[in-house]
Amino acid sequence: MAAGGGGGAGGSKTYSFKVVLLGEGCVGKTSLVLRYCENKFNDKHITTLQASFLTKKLNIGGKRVNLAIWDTAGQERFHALGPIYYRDSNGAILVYDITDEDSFQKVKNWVKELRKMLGNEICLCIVGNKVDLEKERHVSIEEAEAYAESVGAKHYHTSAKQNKGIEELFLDLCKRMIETAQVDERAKGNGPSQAGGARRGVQIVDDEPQAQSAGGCCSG
Amino acid sequence: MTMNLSKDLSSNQRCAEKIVASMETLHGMAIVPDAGSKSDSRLSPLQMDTSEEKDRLLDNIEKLIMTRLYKSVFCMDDPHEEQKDLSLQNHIRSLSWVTPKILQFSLCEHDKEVADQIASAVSALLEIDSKRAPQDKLSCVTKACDHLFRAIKASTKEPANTDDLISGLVYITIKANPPRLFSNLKYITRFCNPKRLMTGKCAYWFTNFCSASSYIETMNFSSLGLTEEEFNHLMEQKSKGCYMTGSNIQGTVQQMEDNKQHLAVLQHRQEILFQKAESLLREINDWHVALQAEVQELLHKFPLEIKHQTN
Repeated sequence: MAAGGGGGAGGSKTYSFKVVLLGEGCVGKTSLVLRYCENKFNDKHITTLQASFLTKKLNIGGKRVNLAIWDTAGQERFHALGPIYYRDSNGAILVYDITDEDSFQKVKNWVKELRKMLGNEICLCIVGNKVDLEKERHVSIEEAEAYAESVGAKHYHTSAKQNKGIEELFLDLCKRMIETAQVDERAKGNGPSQAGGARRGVQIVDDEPQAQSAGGCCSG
Repeated sequence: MTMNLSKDLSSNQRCAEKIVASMETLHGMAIVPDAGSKSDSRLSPLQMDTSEEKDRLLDNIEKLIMTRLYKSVFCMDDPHEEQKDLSLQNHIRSLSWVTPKILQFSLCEHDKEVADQIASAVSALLEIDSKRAPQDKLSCVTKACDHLFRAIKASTKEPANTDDLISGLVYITIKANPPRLFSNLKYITRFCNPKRLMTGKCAYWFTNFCSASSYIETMNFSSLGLTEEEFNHLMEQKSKGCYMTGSNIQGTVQQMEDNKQHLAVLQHRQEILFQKAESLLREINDWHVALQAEVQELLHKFPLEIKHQTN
Protein backbone atom coordinates (compact mmCIF):
# COMPACT_ATOMS: atom_id res chain seq x y z
CA MET A 1 0.00 0.00 0.00
CA ALA A 2 2.48 2.50 1.21
CA ALA A 3 4.94 1.54 -1.46
CA GLY A 4 2.47 1.41 -4.29
CA GLY A 5 4.04 4.13 -6.40
CA GLY A 6 5.79 1.78 -8.81
CA GLY A 7 3.18 2.01 -11.54
CA GLY A 8 2.63 -0.60 -14.24
CA ALA A 9 6.16 -1.97 -14.29
CA GLY A 10 6.00 -2.66 -10.56
CA GLY A 11 3.57 -5.54 -11.07
CA SER A 12 6.11 -7.87 -12.64
CA LYS A 13 8.98 -6.97 -10.39
CA THR A 14 10.04 -9.38 -7.68
CA TYR A 15 11.98 -8.07 -4.76
CA SER A 16 14.38 -10.34 -2.93
CA PHE A 17 15.24 -9.23 0.54
CA LYS A 18 17.64 -10.59 3.05
CA VAL A 19 16.67 -10.09 6.65
CA VAL A 20 19.05 -10.91 9.43
CA LEU A 21 17.78 -11.95 12.84
CA LEU A 22 19.78 -10.93 15.88
CA GLY A 23 19.20 -11.55 19.54
CA GLU A 24 20.62 -13.21 22.62
CA GLY A 25 20.22 -16.92 23.33
CA CYS A 26 16.84 -17.32 25.00
CA VAL A 27 14.86 -14.37 23.66
CA GLY A 28 12.75 -16.54 21.38
CA LYS A 29 14.20 -15.80 17.94
CA THR A 30 13.62 -19.34 16.75
CA SER A 31 10.04 -19.38 18.02
CA LEU A 32 9.39 -16.07 16.31
CA VAL A 33 10.43 -17.21 12.83
CA LEU A 34 8.87 -20.62 13.21
CA ARG A 35 5.63 -18.94 14.18
CA TYR A 36 5.85 -16.64 11.19
CA CYS A 37 6.87 -19.19 8.57
CA GLU A 38 5.14 -22.32 9.87
CA ASN A 39 2.58 -20.89 12.29
CA LYS A 40 3.75 -23.28 14.96
CA PHE A 41 4.89 -22.87 18.52
CA ASN A 42 6.54 -25.57 20.62
CA ASP A 43 4.79 -28.08 18.46
CA LYS A 44 5.69 -31.74 18.49
CA HIS A 45 4.73 -31.93 14.83
CA ILE A 46 7.19 -29.40 13.48
CA THR A 47 8.55 -31.10 10.41
CA THR A 48 11.17 -28.45 9.71
CA LEU A 49 14.66 -29.80 10.16
CA GLN A 50 16.08 -26.45 11.08
CA ALA A 51 14.97 -22.99 12.07
CA SER A 52 18.00 -21.00 11.06
CA PHE A 53 17.27 -20.26 7.42
CA LEU A 54 13.66 -19.76 6.41
CA THR A 55 12.03 -18.18 3.42
CA LYS A 56 8.63 -16.67 2.84
CA LYS A 57 6.91 -15.39 -0.27
CA LEU A 58 4.70 -12.35 0.09
CA ASN A 59 2.58 -10.22 -2.13
CA ILE A 60 2.32 -6.64 -0.97
CA GLY A 61 0.14 -4.34 -3.04
CA GLY A 62 0.85 -6.33 -6.19
CA LYS A 63 4.58 -6.52 -5.53
CA ARG A 64 6.08 -9.92 -5.06
CA VAL A 65 8.60 -10.21 -2.27
CA ASN A 66 10.89 -13.14 -1.55
CA LEU A 67 12.01 -12.91 2.00
CA ALA A 68 15.05 -14.83 3.19
CA ILE A 69 15.44 -14.83 6.95
CA TRP A 70 18.98 -15.45 8.18
CA ASP A 71 19.19 -16.37 11.80
CA THR A 72 22.43 -15.70 13.65
CA ALA A 73 23.99 -17.44 16.60
CA GLY A 74 22.83 -16.09 19.93
CA GLN A 75 25.56 -17.35 22.19
CA GLU A 76 28.18 -14.88 23.30
CA ARG A 77 31.09 -17.05 22.16
CA PHE A 78 29.93 -16.68 18.54
CA HIS A 79 29.57 -12.92 18.74
CA ALA A 80 32.64 -12.18 16.61
CA LEU A 81 31.14 -14.08 13.69
CA GLY A 82 28.37 -11.49 13.25
CA PRO A 83 29.64 -9.40 10.33
CA ILE A 84 29.70 -12.25 7.81
CA TYR A 85 26.02 -12.81 8.45
CA TYR A 86 24.69 -9.32 8.14
CA ARG A 87 26.63 -8.03 5.17
CA ASP A 88 24.33 -7.21 2.24
CA SER A 89 21.19 -7.52 4.30
CA ASN A 90 18.25 -5.25 3.62
CA GLY A 91 16.71 -5.48 7.04
CA ALA A 92 17.57 -6.52 10.55
CA ILE A 93 15.27 -7.74 13.28
CA LEU A 94 16.77 -7.27 16.72
CA VAL A 95 14.94 -9.29 19.31
CA TYR A 96 15.00 -8.87 23.08
CA ASP A 97 13.05 -10.46 25.88
CA ILE A 98 10.90 -7.91 27.76
CA THR A 99 11.60 -9.76 31.01
CA ASP A 100 15.36 -9.59 30.54
CA GLU A 101 17.16 -6.26 30.80
CA ASP A 102 20.45 -7.76 29.60
CA SER A 103 18.97 -8.87 26.31
CA PHE A 104 17.93 -5.26 25.64
CA GLN A 105 21.48 -4.08 26.30
CA LYS A 106 22.68 -6.60 23.73
CA VAL A 107 20.27 -5.13 21.19
CA LYS A 108 21.84 -1.71 21.75
CA ASN A 109 25.27 -3.14 21.02
CA TRP A 110 24.06 -4.72 17.79
CA VAL A 111 22.43 -1.51 16.64
CA LYS A 112 25.74 0.29 17.04
CA GLU A 113 27.55 -2.43 15.16
CA LEU A 114 25.03 -2.58 12.32
CA ARG A 115 24.99 1.16 11.82
CA LYS A 116 28.77 1.20 11.80
CA MET A 117 29.05 -1.60 9.22
CA LEU A 118 26.01 -0.98 7.03
CA GLY A 119 25.14 2.69 7.51
CA ASN A 120 21.59 3.89 7.14
CA GLU A 121 20.69 1.65 4.22
CA ILE A 122 19.44 -1.10 6.49
CA CYS A 123 15.90 -1.09 7.95
CA LEU A 124 16.08 -1.81 11.65
CA CYS A 125 13.31 -3.36 13.74
CA ILE A 126 13.64 -3.63 17.48
CA VAL A 127 11.32 -6.29 18.82
CA GLY A 128 10.28 -6.86 22.42
CA ASN A 129 9.23 -10.49 22.51
CA LYS A 130 7.27 -12.43 25.17
CA VAL A 131 4.60 -9.77 25.84
CA ASP A 132 2.49 -12.62 27.23
CA LEU A 133 4.73 -12.26 30.29
CA GLU A 134 3.77 -8.62 30.78
CA LYS A 135 3.71 -9.04 34.57
CA GLU A 136 7.40 -9.84 34.66
CA ARG A 137 8.38 -6.97 32.37
CA HIS A 138 11.82 -5.52 33.12
CA VAL A 139 12.28 -3.27 30.11
CA SER A 140 9.93 -0.30 30.12
CA ILE A 141 7.93 0.41 26.98
CA GLU A 142 8.81 4.12 27.01
CA GLU A 143 12.51 3.46 27.29
CA ALA A 144 12.50 0.91 24.48
CA GLU A 145 10.42 3.04 22.13
CA ALA A 146 12.43 6.18 22.84
CA TYR A 147 15.63 4.29 22.17
CA ALA A 148 14.30 2.85 18.90
CA GLU A 149 13.32 6.30 17.71
CA SER A 150 16.69 7.75 18.64
CA VAL A 151 18.49 5.28 16.38
CA GLY A 152 16.04 5.45 13.50
CA ALA A 153 14.53 2.04 14.15
CA LYS A 154 10.94 0.96 14.61
CA HIS A 155 9.80 -0.75 17.75
CA TYR A 156 7.38 -3.69 17.91
CA HIS A 157 5.86 -5.87 20.57
CA THR A 158 5.37 -9.54 19.85
CA SER A 159 4.44 -12.80 21.47
CA ALA A 160 5.43 -15.92 19.61
CA LYS A 161 3.44 -17.95 22.12
CA GLN A 162 0.16 -16.12 21.50
CA ASN A 163 0.98 -15.23 17.89
CA LYS A 164 0.72 -11.49 18.51
CA GLY A 165 2.27 -8.76 16.40
CA ILE A 166 4.40 -11.05 14.24
CA GLU A 167 2.57 -10.70 10.91
CA GLU A 168 2.50 -6.93 11.40
CA LEU A 169 6.21 -6.83 12.13
CA PHE A 170 7.23 -8.62 8.95
CA LEU A 171 4.68 -6.86 6.76
CA ASP A 172 5.78 -3.47 7.97
CA LEU A 173 9.43 -4.34 7.52
CA CYS A 174 8.80 -5.51 3.96
CA LYS A 175 7.03 -2.28 3.09
CA ARG A 176 9.93 -0.26 4.43
CA MET A 177 12.45 -2.37 2.54
CA ILE A 178 10.48 -1.91 -0.70
CA GLU A 179 10.54 1.85 -0.16
CA THR A 180 14.28 1.82 0.46
CA ALA A 181 14.81 -0.32 -2.62
CA GLN A 182 12.75 2.07 -4.74
CA VAL A 183 14.68 5.08 -3.51
CA ASP A 184 17.84 3.18 -4.32
CA GLU A 185 16.63 2.29 -7.80
CA ARG A 186 15.77 5.87 -8.54
CA ALA A 187 19.14 6.97 -7.27
CA LYS A 188 20.84 4.53 -9.60
CA GLY A 189 18.83 5.91 -12.49
CA ASN A 190 17.13 2.66 -13.34
CA GLY A 191 13.68 4.02 -12.87
CA PRO A 192 12.21 7.35 -13.86
CA SER A 193 14.74 9.76 -12.47
CA GLN A 194 13.53 11.90 -9.67
CA ALA A 195 15.14 14.71 -7.83
CA GLY A 196 16.06 14.21 -4.21
CA GLY A 197 16.81 10.51 -4.40
CA ALA A 198 19.71 9.52 -2.20
CA ARG A 199 22.71 8.90 -4.39
CA ARG A 200 25.53 6.76 -3.20
CA GLY A 201 28.70 5.49 -4.75
CA VAL A 202 30.08 6.48 -8.11
CA GLN A 203 27.93 6.38 -11.16
CA ILE A 204 29.70 5.17 -14.27
CA VAL A 205 28.29 6.49 -17.51
CA ASP A 206 29.15 4.71 -20.73
CA ASP A 207 30.35 6.73 -23.71
CA GLU A 208 27.89 5.04 -25.99
CA PRO A 209 24.31 6.28 -26.15
CA GLN A 210 22.26 4.77 -23.37
CA ALA A 211 18.73 5.40 -24.61
CA GLN A 212 18.03 1.75 -25.19
CA SER A 213 19.26 0.39 -21.90
CA ALA A 214 17.48 3.05 -19.88
CA GLY A 215 14.17 1.74 -21.14
CA GLY A 216 14.92 -1.94 -20.86
CA CYS A 217 16.33 -2.19 -17.37
CA CYS A 218 13.21 -2.11 -15.24
CA SER A 219 11.61 -5.19 -16.65
CA GLY A 220 14.76 -7.30 -16.36
CA MET B 1 35.10 -17.50 -24.26
CA THR B 2 36.44 -20.78 -22.94
CA MET B 3 38.61 -21.26 -26.00
CA ASN B 4 40.12 -17.85 -25.62
CA LEU B 5 40.85 -18.43 -21.96
CA SER B 6 42.39 -21.83 -22.62
CA LYS B 7 44.67 -20.38 -25.26
CA ASP B 8 45.71 -17.68 -22.91
CA LEU B 9 46.83 -20.15 -20.32
CA SER B 10 50.48 -20.10 -21.31
CA SER B 11 51.78 -17.97 -18.48
CA ASN B 12 50.25 -19.00 -15.24
CA GLN B 13 50.13 -16.13 -12.85
CA ARG B 14 49.06 -13.43 -15.28
CA CYS B 15 46.41 -15.71 -16.66
CA ALA B 16 45.01 -16.49 -13.28
CA GLU B 17 44.44 -12.82 -12.81
CA LYS B 18 42.77 -12.60 -16.20
CA ILE B 19 40.50 -15.48 -15.31
CA VAL B 20 39.43 -13.84 -12.11
CA ALA B 21 38.55 -10.75 -14.12
CA SER B 22 36.71 -12.81 -16.73
CA MET B 23 34.72 -14.65 -14.12
CA GLU B 24 33.81 -11.33 -12.63
CA THR B 25 32.55 -10.15 -16.01
CA LEU B 26 30.59 -13.35 -16.40
CA HIS B 27 29.03 -13.01 -12.99
CA GLY B 28 28.45 -9.35 -13.59
CA MET B 29 26.29 -10.33 -16.53
CA ALA B 30 24.28 -12.50 -14.23
CA ILE B 31 23.44 -9.59 -12.02
CA VAL B 32 23.04 -6.86 -14.61
CA PRO B 33 22.12 -8.75 -17.74
CA ASP B 34 21.40 -5.64 -19.77
CA ALA B 35 24.52 -3.72 -18.91
CA GLY B 36 25.76 -2.04 -22.05
CA SER B 37 29.02 -3.92 -22.39
CA LYS B 38 30.27 -5.00 -25.79
CA SER B 39 30.09 -8.73 -25.14
CA ASP B 40 26.33 -8.38 -24.98
CA SER B 41 25.84 -9.01 -28.67
CA ARG B 42 27.51 -12.41 -28.44
CA LEU B 43 25.47 -13.43 -25.46
CA SER B 44 22.25 -11.95 -26.66
CA PRO B 45 20.23 -15.18 -26.20
CA LEU B 46 20.71 -14.60 -22.48
CA GLN B 47 18.36 -11.69 -22.64
CA MET B 48 15.61 -13.77 -24.14
CA ASP B 49 15.53 -16.43 -21.43
CA THR B 50 13.77 -16.32 -18.14
CA SER B 51 16.00 -15.61 -15.19
CA GLU B 52 15.87 -19.23 -14.11
CA GLU B 53 17.15 -20.46 -17.43
CA LYS B 54 19.74 -17.75 -17.40
CA ASP B 55 20.97 -18.91 -14.01
CA ARG B 56 21.18 -22.46 -15.18
CA LEU B 57 23.09 -21.45 -18.27
CA LEU B 58 25.52 -19.41 -16.21
CA ASP B 59 25.96 -22.35 -13.85
CA ASN B 60 26.87 -24.59 -16.72
CA ILE B 61 29.28 -22.08 -18.20
CA GLU B 62 30.87 -21.60 -14.80
CA LYS B 63 31.15 -25.33 -14.32
CA LEU B 64 32.74 -25.86 -17.72
CA ILE B 65 35.25 -23.09 -17.38
CA MET B 66 36.22 -23.81 -13.80
CA THR B 67 36.54 -27.55 -14.34
CA ARG B 68 38.98 -26.92 -17.17
CA LEU B 69 40.96 -24.27 -15.40
CA TYR B 70 40.95 -25.89 -11.99
CA LYS B 71 44.60 -26.93 -11.90
CA SER B 72 45.80 -23.51 -12.97
CA VAL B 73 43.73 -21.40 -10.65
CA PHE B 74 43.29 -23.43 -7.50
CA CYS B 75 45.63 -21.95 -4.88
CA MET B 76 46.88 -19.50 -7.54
CA ASP B 77 50.39 -20.85 -6.98
CA ASP B 78 50.51 -18.99 -3.73
CA PRO B 79 52.89 -20.62 -1.24
CA HIS B 80 51.29 -18.59 1.53
CA GLU B 81 47.96 -20.34 1.01
CA GLU B 82 49.57 -23.75 1.03
CA GLN B 83 51.26 -22.89 4.31
CA LYS B 84 48.00 -21.71 5.77
CA ASP B 85 46.29 -24.96 4.71
CA LEU B 86 48.91 -27.03 6.46
CA SER B 87 48.89 -25.05 9.66
CA LEU B 88 45.09 -25.13 9.79
CA GLN B 89 45.14 -28.86 9.26
CA ASN B 90 47.65 -29.31 12.09
CA HIS B 91 45.62 -27.05 14.32
CA ILE B 92 42.46 -29.05 13.66
CA ARG B 93 44.33 -32.30 14.30
CA SER B 94 45.45 -31.02 17.68
CA LEU B 95 41.82 -30.31 18.54
CA SER B 96 40.56 -33.84 17.96
CA TRP B 97 39.64 -34.17 21.65
CA VAL B 98 36.78 -31.71 21.24
CA THR B 99 33.42 -33.35 21.90
CA PRO B 100 29.85 -32.11 21.35
CA LYS B 101 29.62 -31.65 25.11
CA ILE B 102 32.56 -29.25 25.17
CA LEU B 103 30.91 -27.35 22.31
CA GLN B 104 27.73 -27.15 24.40
CA PHE B 105 25.33 -28.92 22.15
CA SER B 106 23.68 -32.27 22.53
CA LEU B 107 24.24 -35.12 20.15
CA CYS B 108 23.33 -38.71 21.00
CA GLU B 109 26.22 -40.27 19.16
CA HIS B 110 25.54 -43.78 20.39
CA ASP B 111 22.25 -43.67 18.55
CA LYS B 112 22.70 -45.56 15.29
CA GLU B 113 20.84 -43.05 13.12
CA VAL B 114 22.69 -40.05 14.56
CA ALA B 115 26.05 -41.76 14.11
CA ASP B 116 25.21 -42.57 10.49
CA GLN B 117 24.16 -39.01 9.73
CA ILE B 118 27.31 -37.61 11.32
CA ALA B 119 29.42 -40.02 9.30
CA SER B 120 27.67 -38.90 6.10
CA ALA B 121 28.17 -35.26 7.01
CA VAL B 122 31.87 -35.87 7.61
CA SER B 123 32.29 -37.62 4.28
CA ALA B 124 30.44 -34.78 2.52
CA LEU B 125 33.00 -32.34 3.93
CA LEU B 126 35.85 -34.57 2.82
CA GLU B 127 34.38 -34.58 -0.69
CA ILE B 128 34.79 -30.80 -1.05
CA ASP B 129 38.43 -31.11 -2.07
CA SER B 130 37.70 -33.69 -4.76
CA LYS B 131 35.15 -31.55 -6.61
CA ARG B 132 36.30 -29.00 -9.15
CA ALA B 133 33.49 -26.62 -9.96
CA PRO B 134 32.78 -24.07 -7.21
CA GLN B 135 29.09 -24.90 -7.26
CA ASP B 136 29.86 -28.60 -6.72
CA LYS B 137 32.05 -27.75 -3.76
CA LEU B 138 29.24 -25.58 -2.48
CA SER B 139 26.71 -28.38 -2.77
CA CYS B 140 28.98 -30.59 -0.63
CA VAL B 141 28.66 -28.02 2.15
CA THR B 142 24.88 -28.04 1.70
CA LYS B 143 24.85 -31.83 1.85
CA ALA B 144 26.91 -31.84 5.03
CA CYS B 145 24.54 -29.34 6.68
CA ASP B 146 21.57 -31.41 5.69
CA HIS B 147 22.97 -34.54 7.34
CA LEU B 148 23.96 -32.51 10.36
CA PHE B 149 20.39 -31.24 10.75
CA ARG B 150 19.05 -34.76 10.61
CA ALA B 151 21.49 -35.79 13.32
CA ILE B 152 20.54 -32.86 15.55
CA LYS B 153 16.84 -33.39 14.97
CA ALA B 154 17.19 -37.08 15.85
CA SER B 155 19.03 -36.16 19.07
CA THR B 156 16.94 -33.28 20.36
CA LYS B 157 13.60 -33.85 18.59
CA GLU B 158 13.54 -30.12 17.85
CA PRO B 159 14.46 -28.13 14.77
CA ALA B 160 18.10 -27.11 14.97
CA ASN B 161 18.84 -23.48 15.74
CA THR B 162 21.84 -21.52 14.57
CA ASP B 163 23.90 -22.12 17.71
CA ASP B 164 23.47 -25.87 17.21
CA LEU B 165 24.28 -25.51 13.56
CA ILE B 166 27.58 -23.69 14.11
CA SER B 167 28.62 -25.94 16.99
CA GLY B 168 27.70 -28.94 14.86
CA LEU B 169 29.69 -27.64 11.93
CA VAL B 170 32.68 -27.00 14.17
CA TYR B 171 32.40 -30.54 15.45
CA ILE B 172 32.13 -32.26 12.07
CA THR B 173 34.86 -30.06 10.60
CA ILE B 174 37.21 -31.08 13.39
CA LYS B 175 36.18 -34.69 12.92
CA ALA B 176 36.66 -34.57 9.15
CA ASN B 177 39.70 -32.28 9.05
CA PRO B 178 39.07 -31.63 5.36
CA PRO B 179 42.21 -31.29 3.24
CA ARG B 180 43.13 -27.82 1.96
CA LEU B 181 40.23 -26.25 3.81
CA PHE B 182 41.50 -22.69 3.61
CA SER B 183 42.24 -22.88 -0.13
CA ASN B 184 38.90 -24.47 -0.86
CA LEU B 185 37.01 -21.74 0.98
CA LYS B 186 39.05 -19.11 -0.80
CA TYR B 187 38.43 -20.77 -4.15
CA ILE B 188 34.67 -20.90 -3.64
CA THR B 189 34.57 -17.26 -2.58
CA ARG B 190 36.66 -16.22 -5.56
CA PHE B 191 35.03 -18.13 -8.37
CA CYS B 192 31.49 -18.98 -7.39
CA ASN B 193 28.69 -16.90 -8.81
CA PRO B 194 28.32 -14.10 -6.21
CA LYS B 195 24.58 -14.38 -6.53
CA ARG B 196 24.86 -17.88 -5.11
CA LEU B 197 27.13 -16.73 -2.34
CA MET B 198 24.89 -13.84 -1.34
CA THR B 199 21.36 -15.15 -1.57
CA GLY B 200 19.55 -18.37 -0.97
CA LYS B 201 20.00 -21.45 1.12
CA CYS B 202 23.43 -22.43 -0.17
CA ALA B 203 24.74 -18.98 0.68
CA TYR B 204 23.47 -19.33 4.21
CA TRP B 205 25.04 -22.74 4.76
CA PHE B 206 28.29 -21.55 3.23
CA THR B 207 28.32 -18.51 5.51
CA ASN B 208 27.85 -20.79 8.49
CA PHE B 209 30.59 -23.08 7.30
CA CYS B 210 32.95 -20.12 6.94
CA SER B 211 31.98 -18.97 10.43
CA ALA B 212 32.65 -22.40 11.83
CA SER B 213 36.05 -22.50 10.14
CA SER B 214 37.04 -19.10 11.43
CA TYR B 215 35.81 -20.09 14.88
CA ILE B 216 38.05 -23.15 14.76
CA GLU B 217 40.98 -21.06 13.58
CA THR B 218 40.75 -18.81 16.61
CA MET B 219 39.59 -21.46 19.05
CA ASN B 220 41.09 -21.18 22.51
CA PHE B 221 40.17 -21.92 26.12
CA SER B 222 37.85 -18.93 26.54
CA SER B 223 35.84 -19.66 23.39
CA LEU B 224 35.18 -23.16 24.72
CA GLY B 225 34.36 -22.00 28.23
CA LEU B 226 37.28 -23.87 29.74
CA THR B 227 40.02 -22.61 32.01
CA GLU B 228 43.42 -22.18 30.49
CA GLU B 229 44.76 -25.11 32.53
CA GLU B 230 42.03 -27.46 31.39
CA PHE B 231 42.57 -26.48 27.80
CA ASN B 232 46.34 -26.92 27.98
CA HIS B 233 45.88 -30.21 29.75
CA LEU B 234 43.63 -31.52 26.99
CA MET B 235 46.01 -30.26 24.32
CA GLU B 236 48.98 -31.87 26.07
CA GLN B 237 47.21 -35.17 26.49
CA LYS B 238 46.66 -35.08 22.80
CA SER B 239 50.27 -34.34 21.95
CA LYS B 240 51.64 -37.01 24.28
CA GLY B 241 49.79 -39.60 22.31
CA CYS B 242 47.84 -41.08 25.22
CA TYR B 243 44.59 -40.16 23.61
CA MET B 244 41.85 -41.75 21.69
CA THR B 245 40.92 -40.26 18.39
CA GLY B 246 37.31 -39.49 17.67
CA SER B 247 36.75 -42.58 15.56
CA ASN B 248 38.49 -44.72 18.18
CA ILE B 249 36.20 -43.49 20.91
CA GLN B 250 33.25 -44.02 18.69
CA GLY B 251 34.32 -47.57 17.94
CA THR B 252 34.73 -48.34 21.63
CA VAL B 253 31.40 -46.81 22.50
CA GLN B 254 29.82 -48.81 19.72
CA GLN B 255 31.31 -52.01 21.06
CA MET B 256 30.17 -51.25 24.58
CA GLU B 257 26.68 -50.61 23.27
CA ASP B 258 26.74 -53.93 21.44
CA ASN B 259 27.95 -55.75 24.53
CA LYS B 260 25.25 -54.12 26.58
CA GLN B 261 22.67 -55.33 24.14
CA HIS B 262 24.04 -58.88 24.21
CA LEU B 263 24.00 -58.87 28.00
CA ALA B 264 20.43 -57.64 28.02
CA VAL B 265 19.41 -60.47 25.72
CA LEU B 266 21.22 -62.98 27.93
CA GLN B 267 19.56 -61.63 31.03
CA HIS B 268 16.20 -61.88 29.40
CA ARG B 269 16.78 -65.49 28.42
CA GLN B 270 17.95 -66.31 31.91
CA GLU B 271 14.81 -64.82 33.38
CA ILE B 272 12.69 -66.95 31.09
CA LEU B 273 14.68 -70.01 32.14
CA PHE B 274 14.06 -69.24 35.81
CA GLN B 275 10.40 -68.78 35.17
CA LYS B 276 10.17 -72.07 33.36
CA ALA B 277 12.05 -73.87 36.13
CA GLU B 278 9.70 -72.44 38.67
CA SER B 279 6.65 -73.45 36.75
CA LEU B 280 8.13 -76.93 36.36
CA LEU B 281 8.59 -77.15 40.09
CA ARG B 282 5.03 -76.01 40.60
CA GLU B 283 3.79 -78.57 38.14
CA ILE B 284 5.66 -81.35 39.96
CA ASN B 285 4.17 -80.23 43.26
CA ASP B 286 0.73 -80.04 41.74
CA TRP B 287 1.15 -83.44 40.21
CA HIS B 288 2.23 -84.81 43.55
CA VAL B 289 -0.79 -83.33 45.32
CA ALA B 290 -3.13 -84.45 42.56
CA LEU B 291 -1.76 -87.96 42.72
CA GLN B 292 -2.21 -88.08 46.44
CA ALA B 293 -5.74 -86.81 46.09
CA GLU B 294 -6.50 -89.41 43.45
CA VAL B 295 -5.13 -92.18 45.60
CA GLN B 296 -7.17 -90.95 48.53
CA GLU B 297 -10.24 -90.80 46.36
CA LEU B 298 -9.71 -94.28 45.11
CA LEU B 299 -9.11 -95.43 48.60
CA HIS B 300 -12.29 -93.75 49.58
CA LYS B 301 -14.27 -95.29 46.74
CA PHE B 302 -12.92 -98.66 47.21
CA PRO B 303 -12.17 -98.86 50.84
CA LEU B 304 -10.08 -101.68 51.77
CA GLU B 305 -12.32 -103.95 53.62
CA ILE B 306 -10.94 -106.79 55.44
CA LYS B 307 -13.59 -109.32 55.58
CA HIS B 308 -13.34 -111.97 58.08
CA GLN B 309 -14.66 -115.06 56.63
CA THR B 310 -16.22 -117.09 59.20
CA ASN B 311 -16.57 -120.52 58.44
